[in-house]
Amino acid sequence: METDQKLIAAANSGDSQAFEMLYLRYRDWVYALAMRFTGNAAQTADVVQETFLYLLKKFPGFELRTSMKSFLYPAVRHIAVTIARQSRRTMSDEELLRQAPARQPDVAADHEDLAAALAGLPPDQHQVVLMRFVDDMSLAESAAALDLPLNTIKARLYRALQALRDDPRTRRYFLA
Amino acid sequence: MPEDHEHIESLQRRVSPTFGKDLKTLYSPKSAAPGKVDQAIVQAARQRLTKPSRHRLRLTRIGAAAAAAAVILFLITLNVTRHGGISDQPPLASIPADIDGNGRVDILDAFKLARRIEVTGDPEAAWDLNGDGRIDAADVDLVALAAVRLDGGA
Repeated sequence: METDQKLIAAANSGDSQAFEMLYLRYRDWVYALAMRFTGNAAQTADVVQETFLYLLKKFPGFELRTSMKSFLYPAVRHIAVTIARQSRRTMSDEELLRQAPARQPDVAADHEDLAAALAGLPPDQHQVVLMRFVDDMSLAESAAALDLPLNTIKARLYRALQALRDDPRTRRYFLA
Repeated sequence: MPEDHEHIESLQRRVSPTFGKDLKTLYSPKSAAPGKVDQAIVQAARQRLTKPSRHRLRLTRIGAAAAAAAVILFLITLNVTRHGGISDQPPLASIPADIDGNGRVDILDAFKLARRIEVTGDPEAAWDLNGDGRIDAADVDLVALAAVRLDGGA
């Protein structure tokens, strides 16, 4: 499988198929992330389209200095907030960002416990848990995506996992 | 908080794999990106990344002009040969039309000369094939004419 960097180099040379491969590689990841931010399918589709059009406009001449996920995450977040703002003009950007991430409404009871425990976390801790365990981002990728020091991300994740380990609803997820 | 940093790795190792699995179940969307988004992105990528640059476009036009000139001159040459006419052009055998120096004169030499005129703006004086003091499309035409001769311009 071609690396992201090789595909980017090919796309910079005018190879549209290389860009299409990048799109197919990250489309579902972007879709799932956008769905968390917007909570509805129509807006999510718009976010996916706008995110990749934003990426496309970087070519030719695009240089990826971090991982693709670290590059895409803030773009998805910003575009999702912009699109959501258009439909909910009364909320500030900060309020939109601090909303609980959208999740599946009909889940099993044991997942409800997990959802409830997560909802009790401060938003910044909730966010890094999802980045680590849902988006499969490394701590370094999360730090780059949020433009924060790595130690800040480590501290947030540590506190979040401690809280979940101490919570009777989620204690079962931690080995003794 | 140094303690956090020391223990984050060990704490992560104690998280059961089912934690991530259940979280993904909780947050995975049941729908997927619609096909119209795929089409829009693919179409936009093809338009943006395969669009010829202005420079490439100019070269393509020169190449097309050289090819057209070659066809026209080929027809003229055939006509002159059939009717035993005499051309005003210099004798082709005397034209140093092998621009790329590969021992043959072909239409690629015409393309190459056209490209060099376009790119360098100051090609070698030896390529003033018609001796008019300028190196331009007329010289490209002569190379094209040499290329289409049955004897390969030799």
